[in-house]
Amino acid sequence: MNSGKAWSIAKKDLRSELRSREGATTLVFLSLLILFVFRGILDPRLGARDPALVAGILWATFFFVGTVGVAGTYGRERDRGTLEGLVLAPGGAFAVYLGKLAATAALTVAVNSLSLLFLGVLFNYDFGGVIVLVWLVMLAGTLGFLSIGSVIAALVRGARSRDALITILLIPITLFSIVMPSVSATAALLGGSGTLTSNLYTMVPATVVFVALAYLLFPFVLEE
Amino acid sequence: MIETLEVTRQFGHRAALAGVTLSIPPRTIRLIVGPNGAGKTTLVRILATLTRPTGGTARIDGVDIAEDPEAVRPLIGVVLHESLLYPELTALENLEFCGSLYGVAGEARPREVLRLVGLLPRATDAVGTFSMGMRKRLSFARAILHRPKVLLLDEPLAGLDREGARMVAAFLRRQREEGMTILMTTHTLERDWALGDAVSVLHRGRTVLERTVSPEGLPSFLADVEARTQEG
Repeated sequence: MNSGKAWSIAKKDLRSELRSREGATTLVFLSLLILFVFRGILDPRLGARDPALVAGILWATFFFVGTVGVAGTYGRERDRGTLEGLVLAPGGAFAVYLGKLAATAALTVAVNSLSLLFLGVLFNYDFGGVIVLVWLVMLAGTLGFLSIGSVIAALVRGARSRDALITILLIPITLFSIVMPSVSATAALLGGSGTLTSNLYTMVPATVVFVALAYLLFPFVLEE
Repeated sequence: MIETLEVTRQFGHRAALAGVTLSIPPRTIRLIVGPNGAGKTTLVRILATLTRPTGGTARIDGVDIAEDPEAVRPLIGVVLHESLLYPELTALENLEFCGSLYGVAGEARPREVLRLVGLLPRATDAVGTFSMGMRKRLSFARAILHRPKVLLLDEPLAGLDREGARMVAAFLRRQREEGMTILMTTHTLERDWALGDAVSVLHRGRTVLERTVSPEGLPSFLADVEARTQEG
């Protein structure tokens, strides 16, 4: 694996994103939209009394932002016919995976950070001193989610209904390994039941397994 | 330099390549002709390590493409139907990115290849603003950026006007003179005949005819192609 190739791909993706703002705009609006829907159907004061609810709203938002974010990663390359250029370059398929993962993670984590802010404003919720820990759980959960999401997005890049397929495949794979432990860890930080560490014991090994799977599978995933 | 022996590729029950044998010496341009569906693009993609062959062997500069695709990749430059370019980046940024993938650092080489394809004045313009012909020329610049030994071109003159095609043809001749081996598919042999040193005909996934190019040999070659493909 060539780390220089991964770094170049990540830089290129972020530069393209800064130039076009295609992904960021979509993700920010999606995040706001989801939070507005929750704001509309739930009593905003509930959040102050129920940490699990706040954690659930946050992770529902992160899940859909992550799903849409990861779908664009390989979809755009395929639609433009540029993915072959990455495969053709020496350095291995895993470098493509890492580079794309890094760029998608940077964008998704940035939007999720804004989502934390949006939730605080829309639900008049004060995260207090745990905001940094909540952010770190968001970072760990997002990385875990995207680590397998990237593999699935690459796998279904040529499918006509790839966006739906990514969601359908990601839900069962990440629900118990990443999403629910992330919700529980976040709720625990906000004063709910459960502990942070027990949930991290699920999320971190799952992420390691997902990255190992990507290392083994990605050369075949990118091949015809 | 490029050698294939009975290369096959199945897509489900359909054989895109049913046995392609080629031997292309260094510093030559080999035209691969054939009708749509003959297997030209599949052959280029196999040699480019993008598609794995189902059977047979293929070597570039002595390296087996199926056994060691990583060793083959620095040896080849590829122009496909898709330009492999990012429209929101400038021509120079596209080449710098490509250079970084191949270990070509800095602006000097990207600027040199941009000058070769006549695009240096547009170096800082976004590729999205380029015409199709300019994108094609930039694809050539991308393909030779890392100084490959072999160029694999899939219908590189398609969609170019007469002037653009002439410019690309001159560019390819220059690359051959500088030592490159070039495989180029086409289905407009009348236009491209003079560009090649030899021609191979693909028909239904097989090589059915090979001929050295001579200035006056096109009519007899076309008659032979007609005869062979009707037999097949």
